[in-house]
Amino acid sequence: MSEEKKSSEEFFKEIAELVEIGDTETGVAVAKKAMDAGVPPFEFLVKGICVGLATVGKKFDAKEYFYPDLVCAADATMAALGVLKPYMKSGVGKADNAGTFVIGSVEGDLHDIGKDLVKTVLEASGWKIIDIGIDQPASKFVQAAKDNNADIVGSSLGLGGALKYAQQQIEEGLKIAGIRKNMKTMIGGAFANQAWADEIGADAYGKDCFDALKKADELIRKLKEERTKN
Amino acid sequence: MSNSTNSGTRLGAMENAPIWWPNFVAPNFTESEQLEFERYCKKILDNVTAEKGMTPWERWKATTAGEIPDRPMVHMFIDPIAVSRVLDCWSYSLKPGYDLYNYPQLFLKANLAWIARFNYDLPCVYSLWAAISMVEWGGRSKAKLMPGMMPSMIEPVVKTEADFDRVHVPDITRDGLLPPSIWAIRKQKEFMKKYGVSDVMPLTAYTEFVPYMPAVLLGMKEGFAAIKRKPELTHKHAEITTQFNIDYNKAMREAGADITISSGESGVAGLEKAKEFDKYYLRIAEESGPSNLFADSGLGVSTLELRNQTGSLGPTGWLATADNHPLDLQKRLAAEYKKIFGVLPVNAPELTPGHDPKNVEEILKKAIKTCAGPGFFQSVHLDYWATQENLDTFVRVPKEYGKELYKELRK
Repeated sequence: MSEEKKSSEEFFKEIAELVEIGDTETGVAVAKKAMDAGVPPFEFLVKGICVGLATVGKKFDAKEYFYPDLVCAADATMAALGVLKPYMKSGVGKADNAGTFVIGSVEGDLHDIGKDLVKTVLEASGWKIIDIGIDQPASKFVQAAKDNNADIVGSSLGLGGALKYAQQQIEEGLKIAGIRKNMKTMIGGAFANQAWADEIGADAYGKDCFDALKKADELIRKLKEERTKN
Repeated sequence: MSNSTNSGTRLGAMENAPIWWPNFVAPNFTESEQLEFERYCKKILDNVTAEKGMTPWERWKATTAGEIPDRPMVHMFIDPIAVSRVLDCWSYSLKPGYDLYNYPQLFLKANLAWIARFNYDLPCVYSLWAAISMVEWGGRSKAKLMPGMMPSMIEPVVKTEADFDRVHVPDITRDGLLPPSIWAIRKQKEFMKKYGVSDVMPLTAYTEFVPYMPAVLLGMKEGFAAIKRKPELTHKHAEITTQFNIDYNKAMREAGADITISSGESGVAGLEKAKEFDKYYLRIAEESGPSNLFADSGLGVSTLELRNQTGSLGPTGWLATADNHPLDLQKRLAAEYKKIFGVLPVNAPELTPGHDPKNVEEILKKAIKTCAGPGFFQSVHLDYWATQENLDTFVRVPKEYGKELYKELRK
């Protein structure tokens, strides 16, 4: 017996709920069905996946959700995005306000969970992500920023110890390369904070993946205004 | 440095492994090193005498007995990387991730020098092994030693459910970074005894381990996901890690630690999960002896209440940050359950460059004023970049402001 045909709205609601509960397997199946049914991928992303992610963010802020919920939601999101990508003509998201974001964990830091959460949320929201990986020296951030005309360079500091100044080295490296003025920088991770961002001259600190998205969107607006003026 | 490649056997692989790896050989001390240890111990004794108050041991006993000591007791958590700065003299020339792991006598020296320099009550030997590397558990684990960090995991111990059958509870006398960690406690206690420090000051030791902290064996992402998706796997994990926690606490005590401190981040997955996993903390509390504290930065207020109710905080008490735990609540719980409670009023970054010692002083005064009374003591988990000025303030405020306040309380 064939399944009753669903409307786009029903698909949006379904994927939003699946992202919210972090059900990767069913999320992938629903994304495939939606694409087969001709649901516009961009709308599926914005009205479905992003809505689910936003709910996760609210619940996390309200302490109804915790890290396991975040990780599972990110997993479901990434998997659903993987289904959508071939159906999108260029990139994944909102081309009119997207920017290019270079992301990585600083040298000596082997954590990827925070970085990947930020990557997932940004990518789902229309950013082009250049993920240079974990344990990356400042020079790699600088090179990736140059190679990709990055709008924002974001570094994650998931461990303490003597690593902290690695984020400052990235700031200095971008200045030395002569590209710092035409871009923005962000820092995040368990051992970063606003005071540290202020001290090293980073443009923003993202306290979690949702805050990082908010700050990235603010920075890109600001950057575009600055570029228009210049 | 050597590279260990014995993955899949008893010990996982360690990239940039220390020169002695995989079999720890206890280092001998040169005559000049012994003189240096003696000098540090004498300085510690001089510091205690110069204060003309209770000794740190007396403060500990008074605090745990629910009495008011002469001032709030001061404790510090200092990991092997942070403690190295006292040797480095803030010149950044040491590579603690390599140097202290290759030459553990430097770790011992740094611990003693730090107590002598900062003159506080409860020294704490942190472990050299790290809950973020875990090669001691064997399996297919892989970790990396880096210049400025404790070793970190590259490949987790457990990748599939079947891997659990290959995992063993580590042998503390033999495996990886466990023997030098215990050796450091034993040697520190020996020096403290030899020069009379242990008569006036207890030794605490810390195990950075949590029964169900997901990063431990499964890796961070898989571990967090398993809490939600495969709770049975997380329980299987918690069974064996709890056993290790108990074994390690016993080993620390046998090596000379008077007080053990267990990590207990039971709040990372919320209250419901904290309830589900509380039995493991209860076992650790019951089997780790009377002087075991739980240190917990991940606890939420409700989790702290829960663990007080079930008794899984143990007979002694807890250490917790102030931001997740309102100070007045901690004080109420401590009074209600007659436990001691260490407050970490200053977040680690607030002691780093750019943060004014005056601000640190205000934060500490507020914490002391709120919490003053039976059971309270002050602690901090140090950031590597903490400044000397801020650390001095951290120790000075309870000695001056706290002492005055406690004088009134004792009347």
